[in-house]
Amino acid sequence: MFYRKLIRYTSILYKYKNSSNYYTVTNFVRSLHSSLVNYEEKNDREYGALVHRNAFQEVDNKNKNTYLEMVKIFINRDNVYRRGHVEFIYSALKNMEEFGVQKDLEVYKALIDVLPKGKFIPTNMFQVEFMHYPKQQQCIIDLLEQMEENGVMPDYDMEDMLVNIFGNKAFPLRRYWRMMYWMPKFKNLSPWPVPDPIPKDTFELAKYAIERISSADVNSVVTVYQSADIKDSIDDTWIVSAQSNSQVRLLSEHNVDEPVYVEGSFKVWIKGHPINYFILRGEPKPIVDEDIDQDDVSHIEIPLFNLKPPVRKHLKIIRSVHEQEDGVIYSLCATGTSSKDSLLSWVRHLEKHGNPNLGKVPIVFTLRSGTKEVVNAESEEEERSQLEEK
Amino acid sequence: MLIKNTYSTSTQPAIKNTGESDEQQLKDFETLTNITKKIRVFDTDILTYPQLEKEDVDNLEQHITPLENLVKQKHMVDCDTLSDKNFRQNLSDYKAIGLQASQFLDGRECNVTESNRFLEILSQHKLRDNIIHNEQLGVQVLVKFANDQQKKKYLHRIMKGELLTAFCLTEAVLSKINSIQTKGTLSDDKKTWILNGEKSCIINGISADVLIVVALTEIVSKDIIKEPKLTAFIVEKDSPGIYYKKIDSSVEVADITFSDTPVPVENIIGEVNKAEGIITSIVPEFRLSTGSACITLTKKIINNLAKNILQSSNDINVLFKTDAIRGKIGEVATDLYAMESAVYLTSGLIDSYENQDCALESAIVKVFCAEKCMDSSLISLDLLGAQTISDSHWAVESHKEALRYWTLYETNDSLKIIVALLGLQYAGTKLNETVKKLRNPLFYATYILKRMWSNRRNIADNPKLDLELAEYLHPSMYMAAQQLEYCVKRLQFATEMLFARCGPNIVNQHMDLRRLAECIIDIYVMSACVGRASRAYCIGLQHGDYEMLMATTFCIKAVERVKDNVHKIYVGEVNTNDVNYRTITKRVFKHKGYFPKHPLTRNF
Repeated sequence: MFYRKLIRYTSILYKYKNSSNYYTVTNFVRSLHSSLVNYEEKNDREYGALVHRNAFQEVDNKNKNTYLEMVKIFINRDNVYRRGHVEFIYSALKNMEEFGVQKDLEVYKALIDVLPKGKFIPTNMFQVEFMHYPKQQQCIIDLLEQMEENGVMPDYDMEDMLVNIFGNKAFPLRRYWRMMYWMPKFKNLSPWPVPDPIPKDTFELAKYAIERISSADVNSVVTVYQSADIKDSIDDTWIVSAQSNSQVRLLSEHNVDEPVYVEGSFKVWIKGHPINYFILRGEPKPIVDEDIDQDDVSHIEIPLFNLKPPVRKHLKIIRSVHEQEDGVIYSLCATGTSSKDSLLSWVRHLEKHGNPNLGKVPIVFTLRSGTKEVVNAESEEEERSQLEEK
Repeated sequence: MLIKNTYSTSTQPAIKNTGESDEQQLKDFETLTNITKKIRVFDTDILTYPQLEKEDVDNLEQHITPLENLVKQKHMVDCDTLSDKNFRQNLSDYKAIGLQASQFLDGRECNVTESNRFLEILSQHKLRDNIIHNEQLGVQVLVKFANDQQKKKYLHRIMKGELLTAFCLTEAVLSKINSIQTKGTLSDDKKTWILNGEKSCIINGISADVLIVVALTEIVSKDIIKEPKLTAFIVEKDSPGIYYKKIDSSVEVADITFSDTPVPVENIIGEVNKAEGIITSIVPEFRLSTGSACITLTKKIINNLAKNILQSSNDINVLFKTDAIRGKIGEVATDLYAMESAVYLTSGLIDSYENQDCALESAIVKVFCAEKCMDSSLISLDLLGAQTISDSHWAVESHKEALRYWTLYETNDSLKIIVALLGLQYAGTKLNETVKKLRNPLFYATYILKRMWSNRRNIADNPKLDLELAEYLHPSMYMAAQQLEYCVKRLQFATEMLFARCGPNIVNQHMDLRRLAECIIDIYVMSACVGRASRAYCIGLQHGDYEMLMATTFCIKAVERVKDNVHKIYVGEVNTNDVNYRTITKRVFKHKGYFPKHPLTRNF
């Protein structure tokens, strides 16, 4: 009830306000009609109001301030009729990305504020049912949809604005309420949240990416190396590397006669930003199928002096998440340049930090970017010469 | 009852076997002959509380009184380290080191019951943990497994108080005994072994002259599984390559590092690669001795508490007559009674038979005693209130000591799981056929239907009590006997159900295992209580009537717990929150800690 009253009063207030404006302005215009110059001037203005569609493209310095300035100019230009406001909002929506404001709630609110208050509020049920001022309502629904697509969550202020414009029965309001129901629920659903707004720095993004992938094993540790720390490295860049204890163990168990592969680059997307990453892979281990009788309880083994809760002893070692059908993944990285040299530095860093086995095994680079090149790293010198050859 | 006294080694027909439950029971059947039918019965011999011969008891009491006086003497009480040679020599004068050593070495040649009685007295001293570790681990290994030469060289001097031992088993990263990292390798001339590795949390570590080190000496590979073989060495303190790091603690604890420490071949205890057997036979008695220490500690707590309450009572507020106090003190006393009963029942069982396997029983004693000791200590803190804020208050000190029994070596929680597994191991061998049928209902449809009928009372939580346990006890114990019977029946039901549900995978169902263990523990302690009380009442011991009351009290409480636990096992993992806890914990580990957002957080 309160709302209804509130809306009625505000609408009346707005009507009154508008009409008073109307009178003053019409009087003002009428008083100027005597002059021809002024008449032409007015025509100019109306013409300007119609062509402002392209106005957004003509702005040189595209940012949030100039965008808001454009909105302000539109409002001030024709304060009375505000002709073409729907077209203006559509063209503003279209140009948002160029100004980089598509994720900014304030901008959307400024656009909604362009609409007159009170005018579009339906006064009876038929108006409500037949979408009173359909073009305007549809325009705001489209605006809200664009917000949703960009993941911008409305706030309660926006609700007040919409109620003042369309009344609480209108379709934009229903859309708003649906958004307010679902969007908070979806907002934090990502298992790997990234800060909002997301940093532009590739290094930060790479860290998120590697953390995300390596979270398959909770014991993974993400380390940042500098390729410059390795003697003879050409690149000077960062290396974000991830390895867990079980990967260290697997690598130490790796047969030194068999090669390990540095593979990549693969792509992972972090909120619209692609990050290249590489893996250190070994040949897959043979799958040993354990054939045990699931009904036999006559041989329960108990460790005699246990300091931690015992788990069932299996005839085979339980496969870790790193031992996949197509290979054993020993480590994972992203580098600043994604170059072969930086990857070589990565391998050398791994060797220095707990994987001495890497010094002995042949390392094969099968990199997808550009032509396929194979580097066999028996020793660092050989490897380097081969690299230089290519 | 088919089982009667058929054991050839038994000296007293009354004191017999172990077996507190049907699983335990099954173990006994392995050793008994001519029994093919009726496997799920309660071994009623356990209700006959073990006792010592009259002259043995008199003899024991004679020696205990002077030792008790010695421990209370000021110069002994003031001593706060076992490295004090005089202290050890004083003990040695009363033959209190090497209790079970043979008389040739001037030892007492006690049995387990007697040595537990002695340890109970020695536990009155604040160095009880150091004494027990020296006695039950260090000395006992030598007594049982050392050869004559080693005994002469080390054991004799240890018993005389000249040397002190430390048992080096635990390591920093050690989840089970098989993953020991300390390695022993035989040198080229085959005369010395070289030890390398680090042992952590070694009690008496700093002051010990003789270290008994368990090290990995061989790995036997069977297919993919590697089975490590362990060997025990005697290492002298002044051998090269031993480094100590003291850990800040009220008991003397140290981390000991061995780097290329040579040990002569003759210092191997027992045989090479056979240390596992040594540990298996030492550990049960060590666990049992924890029980003795807990008894002494709890006794101290309850006595001090009673004294304190009496002092703080006055005519205006007759504190000791209030319900609040009576409820709590009664609880502590009953628990203490149960602790004593369990310890001496178990030691009696060990003594009655040669090579009696009491791993399960001793584990029960350790878990139960440590738990109740902690409960009592918490109650005392609760009743004493603000005065315990001082760190030097006796209740705070007792609490710290009670804490040790939870954590030292095996924690109570993992020991509980072991208790359940030991029980299941015995049951598994005998129930195998039944379980196979239960797990394949479509292949054995008639059996399943029959079982549905025969099992109906169990499912309705109203098992038929046909074990007639009351016949083995004083008639006034009828109620308690019925309750015990109910518990045994329920345990059997729970075991079969767990097997049917999980099969061999039961080993990984720790939450259910914990519940099963609690049932087993309660049942064992119940039988100990009723047996003891019945005996005391029958032979007319002083306070015998109150013993009956305490036993009954304990049974009533235990039956509640068993009922609850079996019900939880019965309703399964979804209804008991087990699944929820698993899910929540997964999340905790994914986020490496507590994950929910602060309650004041806003989303928009």
